[in-house]
Amino acid sequence: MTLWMLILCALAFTSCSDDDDDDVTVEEGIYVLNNGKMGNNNSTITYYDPVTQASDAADVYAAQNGKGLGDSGQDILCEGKYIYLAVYTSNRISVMTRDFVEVTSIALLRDGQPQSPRSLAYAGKKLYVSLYDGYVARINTSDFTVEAQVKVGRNPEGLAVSNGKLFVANSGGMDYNTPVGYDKTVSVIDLKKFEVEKTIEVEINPTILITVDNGDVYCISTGNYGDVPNTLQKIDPKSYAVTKVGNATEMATDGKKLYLMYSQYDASWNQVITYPVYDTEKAQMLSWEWIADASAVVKPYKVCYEPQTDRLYLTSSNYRTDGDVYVYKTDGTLEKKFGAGLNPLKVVYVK
Amino acid sequence: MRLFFYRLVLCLLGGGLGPVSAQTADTARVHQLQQVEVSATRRPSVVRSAAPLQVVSGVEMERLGYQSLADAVRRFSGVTVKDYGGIGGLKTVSVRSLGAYHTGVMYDGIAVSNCQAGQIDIGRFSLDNVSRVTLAVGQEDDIFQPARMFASAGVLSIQTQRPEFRGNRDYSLQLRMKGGSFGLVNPSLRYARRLASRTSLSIDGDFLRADGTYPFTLKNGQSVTREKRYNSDILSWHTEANLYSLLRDSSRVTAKVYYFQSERGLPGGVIFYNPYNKERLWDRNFFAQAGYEKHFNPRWALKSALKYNYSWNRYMDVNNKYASGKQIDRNRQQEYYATVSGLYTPKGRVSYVLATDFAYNRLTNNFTDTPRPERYTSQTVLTARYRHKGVTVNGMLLATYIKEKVASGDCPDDKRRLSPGVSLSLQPWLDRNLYVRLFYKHVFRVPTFNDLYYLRMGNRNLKPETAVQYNAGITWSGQWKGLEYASVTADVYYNRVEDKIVALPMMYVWKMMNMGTVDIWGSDVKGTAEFGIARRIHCRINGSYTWQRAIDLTDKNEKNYKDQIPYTPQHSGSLSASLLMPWVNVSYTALVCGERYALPQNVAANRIDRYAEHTLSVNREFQWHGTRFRLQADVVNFTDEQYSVIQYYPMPGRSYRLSASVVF
Repeated sequence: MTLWMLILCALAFTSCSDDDDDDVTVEEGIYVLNNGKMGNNNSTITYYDPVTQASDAADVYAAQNGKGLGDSGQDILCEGKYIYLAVYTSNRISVMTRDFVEVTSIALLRDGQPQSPRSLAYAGKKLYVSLYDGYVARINTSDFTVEAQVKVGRNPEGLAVSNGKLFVANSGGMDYNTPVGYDKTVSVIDLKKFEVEKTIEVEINPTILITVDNGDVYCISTGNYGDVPNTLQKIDPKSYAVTKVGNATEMATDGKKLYLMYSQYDASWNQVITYPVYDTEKAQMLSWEWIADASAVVKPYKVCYEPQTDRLYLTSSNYRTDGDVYVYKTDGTLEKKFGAGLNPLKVVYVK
Repeated sequence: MRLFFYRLVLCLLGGGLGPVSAQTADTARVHQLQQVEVSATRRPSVVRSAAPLQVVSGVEMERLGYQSLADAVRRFSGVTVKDYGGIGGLKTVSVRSLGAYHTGVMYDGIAVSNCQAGQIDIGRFSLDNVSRVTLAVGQEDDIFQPARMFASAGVLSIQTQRPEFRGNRDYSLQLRMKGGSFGLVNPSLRYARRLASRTSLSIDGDFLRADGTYPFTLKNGQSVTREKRYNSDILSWHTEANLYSLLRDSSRVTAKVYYFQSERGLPGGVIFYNPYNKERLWDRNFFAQAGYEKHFNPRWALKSALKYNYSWNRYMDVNNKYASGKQIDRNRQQEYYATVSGLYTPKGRVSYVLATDFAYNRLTNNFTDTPRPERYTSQTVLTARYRHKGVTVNGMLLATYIKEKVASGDCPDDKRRLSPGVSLSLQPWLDRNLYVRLFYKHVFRVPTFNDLYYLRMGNRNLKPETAVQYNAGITWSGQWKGLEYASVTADVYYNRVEDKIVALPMMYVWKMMNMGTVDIWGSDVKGTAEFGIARRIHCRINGSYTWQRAIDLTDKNEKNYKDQIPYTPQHSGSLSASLLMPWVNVSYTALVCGERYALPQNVAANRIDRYAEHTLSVNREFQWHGTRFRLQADVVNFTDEQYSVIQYYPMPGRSYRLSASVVF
């Protein structure tokens, strides 16, 4: 009898296996957030090793968490111990450890409706997220609760922090086809009071905001895909004056220069793509392009600058099949082209 | 079909009146026969047809437990039905991977059209008043049709029931009540009355409601949860009145008035972590059609029809991301249509048909920049058929001219196309029902109004999408061993689609472009067997198997080059068996579908699992005082298979239906 008891006890202890045997650490390197196709629940995170230049098509999030990221991962941000990921259609912000193991998932609801997070920003130990129903939320990064929300313009997209303020691009994109039309404002939120201090008028449909080393905020207004082209503007962080600087569709910065991509369509829907560089210190467009051979890139999508590797990552997508990422040095030479998931959006370096 | 009826009447009449003058002192007495009206329509032969044809009768569909037209079509071979789930979910049919736009749908001989979206939602056709559903690929043998029917690669044809009066009654009434899982309530009524000796009227009405809240299993990686499908309700009703009249000069007149209305929830695809969905759709459709047919003599016949169609739909999405808290889209379409066909049979071996159609379509909606498009379509077809002993040859040439008109912006170019087609059927041994058939057809489909004008996606420079079809097949029917009846049809086909209209992304904006080439190889095999088991037990078995290899050949450098196109399984099939017994009839159908991909790239992440759906039906008919009663119980998907046709649009698991009908 006692022998059986001993055996049973031994079995009981050994059978108590840990469910989360996924305390596997991930490799250090570049991680690509792939947006996926809206409605297909196929947003993924894939890996690229900048040292060996090898990439892996497996979904890191699924490997670490045993389930999918969700639908339309929109923005990713690494700060402190955590990685934050805004998943737009799945209406959640995933908070993960540096090994992509999810710690918590923040759902954002207002009046029973999903608020749909778009972009993330970090300042003063708080996480800020723009929500498509017209709000910006502030999230406490210790207990991951939503502390406060402030109403901004319609369908806010990009966020940028400068001079103790949070700039929010209000695109108004969901009403492009109604008499209401696009929005054309940038809201300025004072971070201490968490109130909208000023609403700046810009070109219609502002979507991307970036802060450079000297504090200036640059804004791209995507326009209306018709008579109003993609416009690049500079916003003074103190006086809030807006200056039109040129044309651009996407941008990335290393703090001093803006690496732009400008995609224009002619009347027969042929695409003409240029890659200008804007020097923020000299306040002028430079004469050279940051891609030496533009014809090598097929269907460019987004541009990112990654400081750890000091490289520009240009993603490419045809929205139907898995995309690619082109790695460029800042002098324009192509270092590598590697495969990613469907609609690669953004690149981060994770240690 | 009508020629057959006419000839029969003539024979019977002629037999009574003919020989009197030719003979003298004939001891046989001449009897004048009473005119017999043959009211059954001849069932088209799937074996003799020069092009693949599949037929299922209303009686069979009822016995097998089909709820809607989609259920019947799914079991045809070579067909892919895109079913978005639930009773009210959108269901479109694509024949041989050519796409829903290349499949024409006919309702009692006149095309059902949708110029806005180009696809017909077959889920909304109930089977309550349907007498037959046919699917013809290529060209039906009945060449006496409107020109429009020659323009599609495949035609799905729905025939409604003609009035039947039993005994000496001049009225008939059928009432049916159906109920089932997920709150299904579906009463229907059919009343017919003989107005004059050769005129009858029938009125149909049916009402359907279901809450559609069915449970389903959701798999997210290793996480498997049980969820419920919300916002999947439907409330619809339909009413139809038909007039049939045989005039004194033996010409036929038919008229129809039809109205359909529905409101339904659109549950959308399942989104991980976010169950919110408040999209809804309202539909209203009214049409009136009138047809006239006259056979002047054995050589000449004329057929003509007129139709007016009005459709309205309203889509609503409630979400705070819109400035007004909701988005409402309203569309209104109208169509005026006329067709005239002439049949000329000079000697009996050859017949010619010249048919011409005119259609006027227009669309208005509530979008801010609506161009209020209009379209004038003229189609003329010349067909010839040669039939002698064991050889049937059909040739056709269709000429299409389309003129577009817009209120603002650039006007799309006019389109002029010629579409040829030829089919051949050979019966090598006249005493055996073995046929060899071949056909070739070149069709195209014009861009829909959505393709041309929809918001930003529309592209007015779109060219028509073309499809070339080649088919070769063998068919046989007859008796074999202990089987009373058996038939086998086997076809191999090759289709090529060019200038395929697809939505391509252009930096945030999607644009419709002629940017696709698809190569399709496939084969369909169908078999039927009927036999008796015991003295009063009869068994009928139908099976079909389809193999399809539809690959994308658009761009050599794309990652999906030569990959199977989305939602096209390589292997699929169906099996149905019915046991007809004096006490009860039992039917079983199984639908099997292989793996397919949700997106163009054939990678594991896009793969949708294979599935098998089994349905069992039991029914009993009995008479009581001259009134016919019928009771039926169905268990649909009795193995509770959790599957989806479209990725993340789960289908219901096991469900039940009970129906009772009375025919006076």
